[in-house]
Formats: sequence, C-alpha cells, structure tokens
Amino acid sequence: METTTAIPTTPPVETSERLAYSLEEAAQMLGVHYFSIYRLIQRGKLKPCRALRGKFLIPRTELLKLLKSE
Amino acid sequence: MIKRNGQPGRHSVPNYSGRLTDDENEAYQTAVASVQPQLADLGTIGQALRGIESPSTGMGERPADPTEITVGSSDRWQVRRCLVQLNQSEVFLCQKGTEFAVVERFSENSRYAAVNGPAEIMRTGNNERQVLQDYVENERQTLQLLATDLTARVRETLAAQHPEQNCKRVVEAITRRCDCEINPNQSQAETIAPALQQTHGIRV
Repeated sequence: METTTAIPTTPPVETSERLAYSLEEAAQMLGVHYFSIYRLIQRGKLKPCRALRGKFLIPRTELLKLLKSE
Repeated sequence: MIKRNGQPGRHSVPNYSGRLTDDENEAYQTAVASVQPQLADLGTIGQALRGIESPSTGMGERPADPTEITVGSSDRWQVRRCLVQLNQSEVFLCQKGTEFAVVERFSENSRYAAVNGPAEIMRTGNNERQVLQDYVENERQTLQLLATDLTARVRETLAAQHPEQNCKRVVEAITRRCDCEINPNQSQAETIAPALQQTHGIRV
C-alpha cells in the first residue's frame, strides 16, 4: 500500500491574525495531508492566492470558511 | 563540449536532455533538496495512478482497511479497495448497489473532518472504469497544481540562495522531472524532441 510522508518542516501555526498561510500551515490547521489542500483547490472549495514567485498561499478567510461551523 | 560561463555542461540529471554546468548542478541539488518531500509524494501518487490505469500490474488492487464508509450523516458506501493512501487521508473506490464512488477519507482528528464530515465523494457514476478514469484525470490535474507550486518554491529558493546565477535551465530541469512523474509517456516524447532539435542546430 502506498504511503507518503507529511512534510516534516512545518512550523507551528501561530494563532495571530495573519492574512495568509503557507500550504503546509493550512494543512496543519485543517488536520489534513497537504495534498488534500491541493485537492480542495482543484475542486474549487479553497481559493488560493499567489506569492511573488507564484507560490500558493491560503488566505485566512478561506480557511475560516472551511471551518465556519466551529 | 558546449560551455556556459566558461564551464562545460557535464552533469546529467533525471529526465532532462540537457547537461548542467557545475554551478547549475549545485543549484539543482539545492533546489531538489528544498522540495524533496513533495517530489517524493509526486512520484508516489503518480505511480499509484499508473497502477489504477493498468490493473494488470496489480498496483491498483490494494486491500482496504475499512469495509464501509459513511459520507455525510447517513450515506453509507461499501469499500472495494484503497486507491491512494497518504498519512492523513486515504482515497477509496466504493460501491453502493450499482453506483460507484471515489471517496476521500480524512483523519479522525482532523478539524476539517469535524466540520465537513469524515469523508467526501470525489467522483460518482455507474461505470466503475469511467469513474476511475475520471478520478485519475482529475488527480493528475491536482498533481499538476502541486508541480506548479513546487516549481514556484524552487524559484524562490534559487533566488535566495543563488541570486547572481541564471537558473533558467535548473528550473526547466525540475519542471521536466515533475512532468515525468505525473505523466511519463507524454514527457518522454517531450524530452526526446528538444534533444533532436538541439542536435540539428549543432550540425547546421
């Protein structure tokens, strides 16, 4: 059975009001594998923004939408 | 031997037809190290998808741990087999009567699962083969998203660690490597074509 590892270098997520998070931080906040974040983007459930060189960032507001009933 | 900036191109790297100079090779190794886990996952998921497409290899036939998955509050599906397993999510082929579904199940401790349910349907249909094919195509598009993001991270790393260097060929080499992991057949043809063009250019 195929098994992949989570990215080990994920820094602890700060609870301060940041505007956007890296993909790994977003995955950690949601408690899912980071590839699931790409799946959510692909399915249109999560709208990312792009950093200067094109790297995906996840806006805080988008994360809150997914966790809205909490 | 062709030289760039006074250095011969003598380093070959996976899936890239060109040869890198010493400086380019150093930058390439730095870049690969910075995205190694993602590259490994790209390969693992790509391989799993190829296994699903070629069931004769047996790679797509993985036993599933749960026998039943509940989607939403009461939508129960029988698990046929596990398609891809990551450490906080698994993707299963499920069946309910004559209907098939590809379902992603999340970790029990996941905040996302607590709000949105422990499992989500990714694809449904009455034709098992079509459902799997649609899933594979969609998952390849998702892998392409990962590859695009990974290339952007590589650019960021190279800009920070090799600011004086033109790393265009390094980025090209990594992009090619990603493409080959996602779709090896298509990418092999693309790798060969530029190599042939280059040979013609030298002869003329």
